[in-house]
Amino acid sequence: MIALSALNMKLMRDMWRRRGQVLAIALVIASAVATLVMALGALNSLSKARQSFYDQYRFADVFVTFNKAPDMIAERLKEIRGIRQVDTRLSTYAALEIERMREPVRGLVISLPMDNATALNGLALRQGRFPDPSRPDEVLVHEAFAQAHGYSNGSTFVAIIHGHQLRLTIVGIVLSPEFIYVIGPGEMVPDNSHYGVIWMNKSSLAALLNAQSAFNTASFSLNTGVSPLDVIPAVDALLAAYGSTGAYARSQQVSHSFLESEFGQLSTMAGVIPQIFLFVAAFLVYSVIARQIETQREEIGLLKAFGYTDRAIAWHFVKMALVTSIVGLGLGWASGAWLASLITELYRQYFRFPSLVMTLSADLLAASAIVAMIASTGGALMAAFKVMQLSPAVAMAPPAPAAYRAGMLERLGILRGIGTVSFMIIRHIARFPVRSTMTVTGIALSLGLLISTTQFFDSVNLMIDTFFFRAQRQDVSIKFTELRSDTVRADLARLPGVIRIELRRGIMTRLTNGARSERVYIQGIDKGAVLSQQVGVDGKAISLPGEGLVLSRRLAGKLRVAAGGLLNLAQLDGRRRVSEVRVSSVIDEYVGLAAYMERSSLNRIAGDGSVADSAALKIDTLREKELYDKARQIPGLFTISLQRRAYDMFRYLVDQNIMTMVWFYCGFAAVISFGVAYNASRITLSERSHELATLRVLGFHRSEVARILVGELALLTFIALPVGILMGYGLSLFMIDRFTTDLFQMPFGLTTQTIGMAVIVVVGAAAISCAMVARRVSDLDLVRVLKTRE
Amino acid sequence: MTSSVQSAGEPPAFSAKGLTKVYGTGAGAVHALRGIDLELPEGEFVVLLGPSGSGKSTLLNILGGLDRATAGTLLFRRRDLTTASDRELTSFRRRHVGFVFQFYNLIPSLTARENVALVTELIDSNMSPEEALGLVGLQDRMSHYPAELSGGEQQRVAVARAVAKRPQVLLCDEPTGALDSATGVRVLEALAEVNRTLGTTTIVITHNASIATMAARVVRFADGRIASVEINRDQRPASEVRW
Repeated sequence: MIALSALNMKLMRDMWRRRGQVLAIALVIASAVATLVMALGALNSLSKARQSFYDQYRFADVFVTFNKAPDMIAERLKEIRGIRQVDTRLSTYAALEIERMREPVRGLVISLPMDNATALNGLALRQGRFPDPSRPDEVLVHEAFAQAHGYSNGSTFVAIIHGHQLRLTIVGIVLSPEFIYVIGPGEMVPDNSHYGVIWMNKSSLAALLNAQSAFNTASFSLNTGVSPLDVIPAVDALLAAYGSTGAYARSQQVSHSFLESEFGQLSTMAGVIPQIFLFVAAFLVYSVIARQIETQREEIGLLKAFGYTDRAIAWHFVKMALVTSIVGLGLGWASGAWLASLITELYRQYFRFPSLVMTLSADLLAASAIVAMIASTGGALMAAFKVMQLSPAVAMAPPAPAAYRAGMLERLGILRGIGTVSFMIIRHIARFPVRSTMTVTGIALSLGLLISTTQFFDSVNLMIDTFFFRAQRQDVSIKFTELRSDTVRADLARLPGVIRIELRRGIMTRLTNGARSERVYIQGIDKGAVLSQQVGVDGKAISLPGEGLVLSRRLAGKLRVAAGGLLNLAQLDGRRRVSEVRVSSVIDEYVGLAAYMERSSLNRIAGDGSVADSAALKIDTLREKELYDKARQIPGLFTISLQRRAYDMFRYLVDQNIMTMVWFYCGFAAVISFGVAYNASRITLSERSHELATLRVLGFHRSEVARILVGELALLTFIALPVGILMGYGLSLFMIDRFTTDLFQMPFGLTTQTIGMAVIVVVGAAAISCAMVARRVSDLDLVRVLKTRE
Repeated sequence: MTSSVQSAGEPPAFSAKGLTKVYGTGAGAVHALRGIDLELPEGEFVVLLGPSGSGKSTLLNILGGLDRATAGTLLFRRRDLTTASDRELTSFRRRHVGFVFQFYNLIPSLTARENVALVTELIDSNMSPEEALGLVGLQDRMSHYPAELSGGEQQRVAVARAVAKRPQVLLCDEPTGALDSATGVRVLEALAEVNRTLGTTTIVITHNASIATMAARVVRFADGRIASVEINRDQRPASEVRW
């Protein structure tokens, strides 16, 4: 047994006696620490998993696709300065026929590298083996596709590749650093049952595509210190003759850029929300510990009278704060790590890594520990020093009876007739403005935190609403395998249940303004289109001008161009025409680097007649199945997708990933509300216990005394609500502002429902803590009151 | 409720039989009262004397419904307090008992008048706070807060607060303990005045033997027992008490 000093014994007993409060403070600390550990833990684990996948399987730095180039071109690509390794391959889209699926399923078929162990974008074999080079029917499929259809080794399906129908046999299931996030062309969310990636022997694919000794896709790794921008012009120059749509860096690689944007959101959340949580928690812990110590001033006086030094006493209280924060840290680390692993697990559904292990870094744990310690010991030190400045005699005596006086409201007669008990409540609040302000600030901050985390739901809802219900209002989207003349409209009109048809066409371009240049996909939409229109951040539909280009603000900024300016437009596909276009307007959009044009103008620039590459349909949804069956027979149909399904999947994706985390943040904010309310109630009880016991002696029933206690807290909470709503509004604006990144702008959409819910939670937390504390009124020591001075 | 009181006519205000109070259990048990038999008639001014720990405060707490006896019976006007629930004891205090404490225990956030009103509002007393404060001679200090009153004045507010509901019993624990002699006498005068005009049974705990001279009955305590009960046939007015 370790013999504890008397002071340490007192410390332990004090803490045990106040265990409810200690736990409440610890919970506030734990909530803040947990948000930090959760956010950074999940982010670190995901980015580590990605990095090790990229490194281990040699994810390329630059990518390019084109029509077809002879193998000897690869040698010339290798000569480009800065390029370390070039890997060439064939790839093509295929129609897949899967039993039980009525809708068309698309596959991306890619040729296998000669040597998977050294090739760029190497494959991680999860199951089975690589195909036998002599077997054209043996393929590897991506794990996501295999899982969606319940495929294992030996499963077969039919593919139509370049007009050849063949039955393929799965011999292995793989993951690829290129397809961590598997998403079909032009889709917003992964739909693994309708889209899959397939690898087959190069010779087999070459035979099907009639492309022996040729390739149509290349990947490059670069020498250290070389930027993609250094090599892209040379690659483009070399491949322009082969129909290249322009080389692009990782940042424009589909899987990578989706990961980037998801990581970006996670990292912004991790960089903003936990910091605010920690700041709020630090304030709350400070105020609570400071108040607790003030209630112990007599003990401090006594200890000083015994001859304990200021330093010893300060250390005593610091220890109290330290123990509290250690409890909080432990809880925070444990719950944060647990939630981080939960979130990591959720991401595993969408991000296909060979290994994804939740890891916590030591510096993350250390950083959270330091913040928590500083917050709590800071509070303890400040309060202890304040009390220690008193001489022992003064400290031991109770504080001079508080001199009350009638406040402004009373003198004005506004409070007349509210009863004596109400006067007690109001005068007590007014007499201790600092204390009351602390409580109000604490409750308000917790409300603000709750509002500002919950508002992410509003923001995301607004964004989804804008995109799916205002911008993309079609029921069905159809993509063609190649450009179709406008006569395709007649084919579509014959489909059952079609109400409205809008044709679209897009081209891949390089837009240049002087030295600034961007690879941009321009969407061409018909004038007066209603199914797909662009909606700005102000919620208004943007009408397309007859001529000229509409750019998102972000893209215009990158190109340093304003409305009225001229850009050089080089088409990267089709006839590869080069022209000058005028920017007719710049719009504010939520997402990224978009450019729009009227379809007829775009077709004119591209030098084509009236053509379309896709169509948006409004249909009679009752005839959806019928339409589906008929649509499959349209020649040149690439994909047909339902907006409703896209919406459901997008919604699910968002709910599963980011929103799960937001839920946790909201949960922690609610815990903080409770911690604050409970501590405020407990401290009020201890500060007023003498008075309340006196009332009990005078014959006040327990419930009547509890009403005074509850009344004071209710009034403070009531005052805190509008303050908290304002704080929530401000914090929400701040967070949304911080969330605006290069690629992404979140809309501000704080709703009254959110505010209402947050208010209900805070009031609920206050009510529960009041109820818990009110039960303690029966523990008031009535006899002691008769014997002691206040 | 059965009447175990055999005396004819009006029953005594309090009637205690074998009243015992033990704090704690086993070897560490403290016997604060070791079987008290006591009858206190209505309207009397009683002084409980005795050294610290002799049991007088414990008895006062039990009489006032702040504490319960471990054994024995206590009747207040034929009502058994030993079996009363917490809620019933609160109601008993509320209707019938006025307390005056050594340290006044006024609510600092309320003025003298409001401190008294706290109690009169509680039971709809037919005595106004003004009247109660008049009784203790503080009609001019009614709007003052406790911090603005002297110790003696604060104690007189406490007396006014205790009597404003016209209690049957007034229990005072060392009411002059914190006061100097002259101020203390003013408080005693107030207590005597209440006892005389309202007929309130008044029980005062004190260390101060000279206060016993104004009592009708003096009960001496020693070691948890009643050492003696003495009827004072020569009650002196409070104004003559000196210490």
